[in-house]
Amino acid sequence: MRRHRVVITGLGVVSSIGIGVRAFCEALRTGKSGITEITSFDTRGFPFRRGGEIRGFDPQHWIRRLDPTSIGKTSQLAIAASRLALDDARIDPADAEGSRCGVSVGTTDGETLLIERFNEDWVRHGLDGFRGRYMAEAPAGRISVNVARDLGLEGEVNTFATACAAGNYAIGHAYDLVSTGEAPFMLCGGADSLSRKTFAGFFRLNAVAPLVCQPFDRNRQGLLTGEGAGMLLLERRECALLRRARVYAEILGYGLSCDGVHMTSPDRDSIVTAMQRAIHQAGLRPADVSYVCAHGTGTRLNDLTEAAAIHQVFAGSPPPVSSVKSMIGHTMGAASAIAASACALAIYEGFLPPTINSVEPDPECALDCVPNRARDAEVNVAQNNAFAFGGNNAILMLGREEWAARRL
Amino acid sequence: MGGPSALSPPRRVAVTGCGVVSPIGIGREEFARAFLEGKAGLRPVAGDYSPPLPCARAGQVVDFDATRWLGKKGTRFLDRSTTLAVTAAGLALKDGGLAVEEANSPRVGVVLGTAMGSLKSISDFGRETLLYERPFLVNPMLFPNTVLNSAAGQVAIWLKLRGVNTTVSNGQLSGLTAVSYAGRAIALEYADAILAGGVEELSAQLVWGAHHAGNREFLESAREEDVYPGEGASILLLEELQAARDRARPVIAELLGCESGFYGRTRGGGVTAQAQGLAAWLNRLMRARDVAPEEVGALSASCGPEAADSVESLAMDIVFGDRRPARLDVKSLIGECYSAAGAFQCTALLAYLGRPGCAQRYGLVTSAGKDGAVACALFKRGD
Repeated sequence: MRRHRVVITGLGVVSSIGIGVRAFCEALRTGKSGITEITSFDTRGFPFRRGGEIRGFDPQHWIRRLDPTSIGKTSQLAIAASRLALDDARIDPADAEGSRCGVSVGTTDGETLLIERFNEDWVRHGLDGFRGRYMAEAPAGRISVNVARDLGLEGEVNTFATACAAGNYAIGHAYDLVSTGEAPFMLCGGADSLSRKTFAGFFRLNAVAPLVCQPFDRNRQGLLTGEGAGMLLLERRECALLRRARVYAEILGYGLSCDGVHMTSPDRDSIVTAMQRAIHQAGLRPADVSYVCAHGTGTRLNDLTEAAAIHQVFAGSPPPVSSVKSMIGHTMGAASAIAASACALAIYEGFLPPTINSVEPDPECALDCVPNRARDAEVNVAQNNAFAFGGNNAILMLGREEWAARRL
Repeated sequence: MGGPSALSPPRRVAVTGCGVVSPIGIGREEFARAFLEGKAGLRPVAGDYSPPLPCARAGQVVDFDATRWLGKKGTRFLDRSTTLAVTAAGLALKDGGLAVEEANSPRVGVVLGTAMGSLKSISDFGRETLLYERPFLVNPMLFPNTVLNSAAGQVAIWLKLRGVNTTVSNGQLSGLTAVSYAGRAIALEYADAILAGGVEELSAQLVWGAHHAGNREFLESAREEDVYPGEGASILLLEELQAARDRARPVIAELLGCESGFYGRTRGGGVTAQAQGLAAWLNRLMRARDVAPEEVGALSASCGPEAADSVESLAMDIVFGDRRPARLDVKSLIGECYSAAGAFQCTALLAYLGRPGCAQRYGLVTSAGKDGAVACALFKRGD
């Protein structure tokens, strides 16, 4: 089947290191940290209390048609990022309204704060002893639906619940719909809110770091949970050229695989399969890849497994590999969408985002993790890695549009 | 493995197996018989709930013993949605006679729809963090059950499926959009075979959560005054059509296409717009495949028949006028199975098209959410 070429023309990021693509890009270039003491839930009783929390986010500013208090926080973040992406693509919201623009959002925990409220009410009053109208907003699918409602869109609406790889799944799906001609353009990405449940769960797995996230460092102590939303506007290349839109990057393809071995431990072979699929589907060779935006959680096991898989795929000479999670923590379903935005910026602006908090690179990983400082570089092809509970691996390939055009 | 080439025609998608665990039977044949007989699966709620569930009856899978289907080993920490899904997925593979081995495993996948995951697992785990003085002393073995893709991940582990593994979460549309996603994944050569469907687990948390929500956004087609929640899993084995023929498997049906759209931007009073949207997609689906309305034998709907002014009824009026096909209502037999509903509607349609003497070869499945989303699929009975 012949496919249309698909490009990214708008980026919307709501993150702990900046809201809006300009602030986010500046933060990536300067290696800013978004890690602070968590205030959005009660951390009493936990020995560690740090995370990537968004400060100064005012939902009233972004949400136009819906009542912000009537929807969950994850929806709020996704709507804000969507409006930012649309604005960044210089598309008038009035033109988007009523259009067949679709929405595709990935999430790990959905509207987790509403479910935590339900749990609190349940503990205090019993399942029948409270008014819980808010549960109408608890299903994860509300996130995409609320984006479509607030922006007035009429395309296909999909929420992907593939845990920490969900952002790449959602972008991959949007790429499929635009490239096959099923959708004229798509808003796609991921969103998640900081949650006590997720914090407790990772803590119990001994996966949470006390202070900082240090991917690929010899002394890394684990991940930090975070929150945020990243939304991208995808459209056909010819449409973008016709309306003289700024093209950040082209989506070249993606690859999925499943470990089928263990729910929480990553599997090297399966990750290799996903990378090879993505590279193959994009019509590339491993040597074409200029930069890998790592899953890079900062846990011992993830980083070792990921590094081993990268060495295997790139036959011992991998390109630079850095982790945005060092700056914003693990934003769960948003992680690979925010990372995809970082890849698009790396390609468009010509730099490699750094892995901050790097003290002593782990020789066992043996990667150039772009330690501490962003680096100017020509990035023709960026590979965005995402792995998840359930053994879900999703790898997205992005390319510089002029480079990809020359290739044909 | 190969990427989609510019020259090859789109691949066609066949249904070669069904796996069902439902209130009216386990396995494709038992379910089909019960459905065609109109066997009632709604019964007084079994089990002790404190407080009692806010519904008199429910479609429970009362006699489901996970260890009977999966064995005792390795099931201790699995929740009910997972065991329902793994059982149904295993039945679908068996029904389709597809052997998964080292060689084809990377090309066989799983796509499940779930609106909330196992709300019981998620809220039980969250509740523990509130009850313990040291909130992190939760059971780490239960943490994986709290992610929404837990059931799909476990199906992959149990059946050794290493291909595309995706969980979609689209409320009422979850089951049908899972089938749609899987069909596209096969057409685009991302996988050769996929187990696709939905699972729902009845729990006090889900039923009360829906009750608090006013049954408006989830468990949505149930009316407030008589909510009959249901549970179960319905999973189809989808395969590339030629591959199914090559291994001489009977093709139950061909999935000819799926569409979906969203008509919820205006709050309330959106039923007409939603019905018109659904009707337009149904017409487009049939036209794309040269199927005339009178060739359609049945439409398997997501709403109960009582809602005469429902989105689906209006859409049927627009598309078929007074020459309506049979309207299948599996929900009145098994209850509102929410995440699994669309997948049960597919299985019910295939049972209807496959019954002896069914004149028409085509059938439709529709899902309409209270949120304004619609999805539909067109099937053609196999030879």
